[in-house]
Order: sequence, then C-alpha cells, then structure tokens
Amino acid sequence: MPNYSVRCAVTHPSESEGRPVPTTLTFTDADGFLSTDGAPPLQFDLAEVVGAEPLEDQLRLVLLSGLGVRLTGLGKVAAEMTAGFLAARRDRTASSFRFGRTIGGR
Amino acid sequence: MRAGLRLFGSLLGIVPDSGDPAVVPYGEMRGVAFDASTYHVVVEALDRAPWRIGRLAKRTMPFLEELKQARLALVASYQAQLEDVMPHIDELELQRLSDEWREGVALPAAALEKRSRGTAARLLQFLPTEERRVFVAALSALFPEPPRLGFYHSAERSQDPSETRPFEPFALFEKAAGAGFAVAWEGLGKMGTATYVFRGAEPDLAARLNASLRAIRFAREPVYLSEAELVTTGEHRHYVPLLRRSKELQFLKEQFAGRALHVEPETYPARVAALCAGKS
Repeated sequence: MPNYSVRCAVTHPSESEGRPVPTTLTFTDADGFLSTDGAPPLQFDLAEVVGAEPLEDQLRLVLLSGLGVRLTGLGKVAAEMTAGFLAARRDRTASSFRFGRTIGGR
Repeated sequence: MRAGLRLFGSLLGIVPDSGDPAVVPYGEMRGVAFDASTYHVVVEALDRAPWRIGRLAKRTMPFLEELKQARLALVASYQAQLEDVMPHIDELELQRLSDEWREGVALPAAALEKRSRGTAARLLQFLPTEERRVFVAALSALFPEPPRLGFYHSAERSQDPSETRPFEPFALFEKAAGAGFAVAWEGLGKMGTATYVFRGAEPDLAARLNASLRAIRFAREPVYLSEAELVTTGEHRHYVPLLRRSKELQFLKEQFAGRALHVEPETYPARVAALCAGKS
C-alpha cells in the first residue's frame, strides 16, 4: 500500500483554506487515507474524487462532498505519487461506473 | 482536458482529472484514425463531435492499434451473435443491422420481425434455459405487446473461457398501467434471478430505461438495493459513488417498483402484475 509524507490542507466548502500540516497520504485500489498526528485518519473513496489537478509540487483534490484537499511538499516523490494516485483513481472510477474488464490503457 | 484512457471489452473509457467519466462504446464508433498533422488519434462516434486524443507521445501508435483491435473484436463477436438469431440475412444486411441494433440497445420485436421473420420467437424460445422459459412465457402472457429485445456485453461472460458469445440477451416488456406505464426487464440468458419492474408516466419509458441501463452497464445491485443497504453491508460499496454521480441510476431507482424472483412459477404472474399495478 503506497504511502507518502506530504503536507495537507483540508478545506470545507464554507471555510477558507487553512495552513498545510504534516500528513501521510496512503491509498489502496479503492480508498485514500490522510493521517495527521492527533486525529483519526480521513478516509475517502477514490471514485468520489471528482477533481484531481496536479500542479507544480502539489496535487489539488475535490471530493464529491465538496471537501477540498491540497497536498503540498511532495518533493522528489511528486511524479511517482501523483501518477500512482491518478491511476488508482481512474481505475476505481471505471470500476464504480462498471466499464468492465480492462484490456489496455493509457 | 487531461484524462486517463482505458480500453474495456465493449468500450473506450475516458476518466478526466476533473468531472465525470465518459465512454465511447465500440458499437457507436464510426471511425478510428490518426491525424498526422496534429499527431492526434481521432475517434468518430455517433451523435457527437469527434474525440481528439493527443499528448500520447510514443504511445500514440500502440494505442491506435489496440483501440482498432478492441473495436474490431467486439464488432466481430457482436455480429456473430446477431447472425445466430438472424441466420438468413446476408453480410451487408448484418452490417446495417449491427449499426441499428447496437450492443445494449433493445429494438421492438416488430422491427426485428421486419428484418427477419421469426427472430423474436427464436430469442424468446431458444435462448432462455428451460427453467427461465416458464417465466418468460408468463411475461409474454402478462404484456399484450411483444417486447423490445437486445444483447449487452457482459464482463462476467467475457471472463468465462467456455463462453463464445460474451453477450447477455434481454427483453423489455412494456404496457399501460393505471395513468402511466409499466416495464419489466428480463434477462434471457443465464444471468439474473429476478424480473425487474419499473413504473413511470413517460410514454417512452422502455426506451428511457434502456438508455439508463446502458449507462450503468446493466448493473442490478445498485438498482434494487437501497442506498442504506449498499452503504451498510459494504459488499457492493463500489456502487455508492455511482448513486451520487449517475443521473441515469437515479432515474432507474425513482422508477423501480420492485423485483419478482424466479421462484414459484405458479405465483410469479400475480407478483409481477401486482408490481405493475403499484402494489408491492
């Protein structure tokens, strides 16, 4: 299960964005988890990520609930983490929408 | 837009970084070509502007070839499936037919009869198992009009090496019920253990239900299980995001009246009739 040490700011739609704090991002083929010291992990289904925008050294996510997640401080794992996360999200979304069995992909 | 592309058994899946995913069923593709001036793969599809797929770099040509092969494989096996139930039509007619009677689309039995007499009877009598035939016959008696008939690509069937045809035959029976209409969705093959009944005021209810079922690839569980049950048991949890993201699934759930399990052939007609009348 891939996990990455990043900084993360989670923002409710009605709030202004807070300061990113040290967080561990973990994801499986179905779920993403954000673990921050002093709080239970925040779990979300990868098929409920309706926006995933990779920017320079950061990844911005929007969940179906409207929750915004900004991951920063990705450092040298930025490319690997972003590619792995986006691929897992696409596969989970395709599974949820019942596209069938994959025979290839880009 | 930036998106991930995946080739599936019956469709090209496009999952953008933002927004909802899209599909291009192979049966709706009119052309797959390479545009050398822009280095794009161009996919022409029914009823929309062509998809232009770029920035694939050195994966462009392999993707183009994989897509062409996947489309050809689906179309070839689908035409073979149609030929099974319309053995007397020639190749050109079969080509035209596969354009109209596309994978997942149910056509009225009368339209199929015009093409080749006896098609509806062959589908209803020979494709269901002996056990299923009793329930199909009961539906034919309950619904005065002949049904719409079609085949959809089944991921489950395509994974079974003993299956030569990865398509599931199905029927949509429709009749007037009260102030509106009732539609029964019945699988004619091995899959499914129940008849799904829908009610609605739309005069084109069967066609709308067919389009919605195509959009969710004929999944049964998200239609008949309540949201609470889907969320709570976890068994079909991957459908939970679909509940919130798919308008077609929302439409199906709104119209869903109930299902009649394929048990007790003696009581089955009364159970279907009660669902059609809005009495569950």
